[in-house]
Amino acid sequence: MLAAAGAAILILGLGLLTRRSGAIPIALVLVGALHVIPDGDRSIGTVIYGSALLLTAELAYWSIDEHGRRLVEPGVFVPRLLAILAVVAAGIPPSVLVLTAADVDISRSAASTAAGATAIVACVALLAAMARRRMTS
Amino acid sequence: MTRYLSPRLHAYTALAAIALIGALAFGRPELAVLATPFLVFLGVAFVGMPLAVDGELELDRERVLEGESVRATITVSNRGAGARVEVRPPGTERLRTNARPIECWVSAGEQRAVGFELSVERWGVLAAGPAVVRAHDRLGAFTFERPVAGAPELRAYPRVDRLRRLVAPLRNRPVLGSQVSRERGEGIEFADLRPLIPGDRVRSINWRASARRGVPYVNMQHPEQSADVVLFLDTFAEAERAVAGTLDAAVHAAAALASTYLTRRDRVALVSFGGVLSWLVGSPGTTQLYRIVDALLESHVKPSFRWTDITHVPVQLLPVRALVLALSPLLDERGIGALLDLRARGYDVVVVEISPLAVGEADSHALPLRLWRLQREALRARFERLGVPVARWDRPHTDLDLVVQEVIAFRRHARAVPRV
Repeated sequence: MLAAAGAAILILGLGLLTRRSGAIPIALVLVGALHVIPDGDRSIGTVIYGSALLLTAELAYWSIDEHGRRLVEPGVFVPRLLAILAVVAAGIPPSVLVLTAADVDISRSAASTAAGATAIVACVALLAAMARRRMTS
Repeated sequence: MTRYLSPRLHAYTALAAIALIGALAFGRPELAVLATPFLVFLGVAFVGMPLAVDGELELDRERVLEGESVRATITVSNRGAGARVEVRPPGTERLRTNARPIECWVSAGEQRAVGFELSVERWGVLAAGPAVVRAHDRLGAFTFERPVAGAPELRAYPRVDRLRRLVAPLRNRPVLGSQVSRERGEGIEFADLRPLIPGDRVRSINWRASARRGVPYVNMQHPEQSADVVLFLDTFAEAERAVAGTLDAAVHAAAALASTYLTRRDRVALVSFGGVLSWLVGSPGTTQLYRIVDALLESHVKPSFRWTDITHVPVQLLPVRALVLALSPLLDERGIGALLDLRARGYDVVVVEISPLAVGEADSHALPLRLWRLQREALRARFERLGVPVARWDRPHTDLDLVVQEVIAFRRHARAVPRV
């Protein structure tokens, strides 16, 4: 556990130092796995953990984005910070909803697995469509 | 116009998809819980109002002197969602800026003006820009980049030095001016004495000389006349490094010579002889100086393999009594040939050699360079044998006044060959 946590911190630190954003997802996967694999916690702690992961990722990407010589007017960072905090906060209720739904006792079957897989594909397709629409607008 | 998607959106999508698949495959809903904030983030990022930022570049002046500064203002208008806008200054090699890009927050529907100082490094018709405006949305998920509209032209005039002395032409035009002619006639400057002949005015009698010699003698003067000067700019080839080059020096010399000759009421014409032949018919006055400087701004070296000789220049541009002041790096055979041709046609030619050696730093002991220098020495000697002074100008190490002095000294001691 400690080794994995240390590795995650090291990867994230190296990524930030060398400005390589590719290190951040790896560190996130490691940190996420640290929480999920050992005990399978289904408490509100997992919700907070997920939001904290997003916050960590956002701050890490932001620090990599901010480089180069430029003059920055005061207050430029406030809207982004507020937006990130708002999205992190907005992610809590749906996470609680997912956590509550996980407690519902549904027998595992091929049909339910197929429905889940279809939902995942649909979710990703929906995101891709939204991204494309936004890029062309 | 370019739009970018932050690479972290791809990473979040991949992470969320992996977590959801893991949750489904291993029956671990905690993974889905961990993925949910990322999915919410993606949803919020994609649903937001699109970015639409415009920029316009304006300069506070359209005309400026070389070495001065001009203020550029970029006005950013936001027609879309509030955005963090990064404005990159519109610097180029000839229009430099030390300003760093500026980032500011521009709310929806707001306009912001950002100013930069641009320093004009060299004369010419300069285009400001391209300046770039880059906008990031509130979450930094999307970036929108577009070049700023309007790249205004800036006319940067060369600094015109005033010369203390000028090369006097061998023959003047018979129009009143400030130049003391070599000929004899009515004027102020005493030239000689001669015996009185019928028709001479009584006031021109030199009574002392007449008393001494016993017969009436009259004074003769040098009349004050103006000159026809043709500035012959050789634009076939140029030695250039960064913003300094032989054409740059030639333009400065032409501007200084034109300015000084025109203040002496001489008639100055300009011939830009190169890949593109252009000219300005000779005329006196201040307006002509503006015309010449404007024409010089358009001067550039256009590589051409076409053989162009002096017969391409309109005859009325080259009056018979004109002093042809050639400003040439003596690098192209066509330019050299034209000057020799002019001399052969009996024109009073002076060559100011804009030294290409001042532009580049070369090993002075290298054999090819020594040979090339010898060739140039031979060329100078050839011109001088024909009575054409060749004065070398190493700008910025030598003052143009010294070059003019050198030509004056040559013409004082050397006898001009009347016709070759």
